[in-house]
Amino acid sequence: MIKRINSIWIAFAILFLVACGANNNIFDEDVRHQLWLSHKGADLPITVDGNTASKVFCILLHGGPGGSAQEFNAFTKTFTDEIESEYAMVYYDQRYAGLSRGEFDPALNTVVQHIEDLDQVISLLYLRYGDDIQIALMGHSWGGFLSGAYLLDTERASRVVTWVNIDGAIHRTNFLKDDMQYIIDLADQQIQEGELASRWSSVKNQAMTELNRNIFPYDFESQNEPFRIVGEAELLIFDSDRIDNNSDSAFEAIYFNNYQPFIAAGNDFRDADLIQQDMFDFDPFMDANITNITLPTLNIYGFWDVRTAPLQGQYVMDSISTPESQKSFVILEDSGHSPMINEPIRLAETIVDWLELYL
Amino acid sequence: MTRIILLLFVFVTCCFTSSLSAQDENKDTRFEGIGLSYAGELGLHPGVRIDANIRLSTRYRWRSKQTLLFRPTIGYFFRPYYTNNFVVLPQIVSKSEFLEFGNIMCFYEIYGQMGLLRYQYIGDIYETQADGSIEEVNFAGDNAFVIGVGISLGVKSLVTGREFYLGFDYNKERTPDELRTNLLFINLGCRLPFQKNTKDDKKD
Repeated sequence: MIKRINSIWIAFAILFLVACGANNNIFDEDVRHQLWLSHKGADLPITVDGNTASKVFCILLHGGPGGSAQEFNAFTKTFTDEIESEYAMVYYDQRYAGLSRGEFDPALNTVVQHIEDLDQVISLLYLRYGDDIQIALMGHSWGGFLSGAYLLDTERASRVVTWVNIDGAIHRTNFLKDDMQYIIDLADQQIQEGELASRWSSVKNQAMTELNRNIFPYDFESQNEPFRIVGEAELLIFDSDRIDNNSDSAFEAIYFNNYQPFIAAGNDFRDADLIQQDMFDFDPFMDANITNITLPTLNIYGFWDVRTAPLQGQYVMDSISTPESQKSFVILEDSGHSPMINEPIRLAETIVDWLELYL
Repeated sequence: MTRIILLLFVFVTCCFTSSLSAQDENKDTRFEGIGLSYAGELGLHPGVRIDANIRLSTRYRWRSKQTLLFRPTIGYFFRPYYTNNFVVLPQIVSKSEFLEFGNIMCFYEIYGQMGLLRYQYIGDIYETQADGSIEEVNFAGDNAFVIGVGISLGVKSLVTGREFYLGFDYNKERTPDELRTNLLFINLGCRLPFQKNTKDDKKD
């Protein structure tokens, strides 16, 4: 019996040691730090992965609202490893999204609260890694919006060195109209090339009808129709085999990384109406203050991205006050809305080249 | 918190009353043995479970022996870079021994379980303070109520009384914010009898 009890203790000890994992140095060329930040009822998982010795930390904000930054680290390693070899990447799952835990308070699911959370995450990075680090702020889709919204305040912006906007939907109402216009232009091009002409023609007509409804501003209910049309256009792009998908295996993501499919799905099932409506309500503030942004800014959009059309990147280019020489607009010809899986190497190289200029 | 205290009260009461009734041989209730199993969340997130079998009743139906068991269970499982998880999951088990060949008896179990999950975050944990500062804290995590069902298939040696089984259970997790998450476990384990001569059991 004593032998049996000993075996149980040994099994527990082995599991405990596995759970503790390797203790990485704070600054090294290849480290992984798992952090949690509890703020106003939400427990936010933050993974710092890569070259912390560079003292450059690139925060990657996920899309959604409701996506997961941990997904980038788990499923798009071709993209992330390329940057991690040079800099430290910071994957932070926002409240009520991804792998975050804690209490759900709908009243705190607002743009302003998400900005505050991001500010706390940046404070944590400075606290943990020192005041001499540099922070680059990157955001994809809704993350592009959130990072832009964060930078509207010049005091907050001073904590960041550069902004990388990847497929950001910066102006909520305009981006839906931009999508419709872009689908029409893309459809014309595809019809001319004879690629799935009848289907593109149908989608084009739907987009034109939606544009002619002349809705301004959109809200969380009226956005459904343009999103449906976007979905159809994305299906056409998929069917015409225009873009590649290079996603890593789910097995590795779940068993050798921290991805938890049920927890991410549980967060994703939450109703996003409130935060999406808040984004629409934020549009006038964005319009009025986007000129406050003076940081070096890189905009990256996919040519085949009908979900956040490249026209949104042009909006950023035309609106921010960054000197012309310090802002750039890159179109990835073989990417849709997720260049991390469509052109991972090219996306990573574009970002690293940019960061080398400004860090 | 009240809910947790209430659940713990129910659990402790169940254990206490079961162990009391287990002392009464006339009621066909007895402590049968302990089990140790690998309990992998999503199959390969490693974990262990330890349980005890307390027989509540036995009956023979058609040609199989059916036993109703109360099975207090504690367990641990690990989610890499995420959480250490501890569960207290008392089970009510319906066990049927349905096929005997040689000294081997095949059985299956269907069970329901309800209990508590305690998860603790892996990594360095920080908390914002009322004054806006950030401080490092220890052992942060949360509790969740878990309810689920499961099935297992196994064999039992009629000579030694040892059982080996493979099971699967599906659980709903109710976190404090009403979020429901599924917990899927694959269990592979063995149970050791408290008394070796299980031929006697067949006379029950």
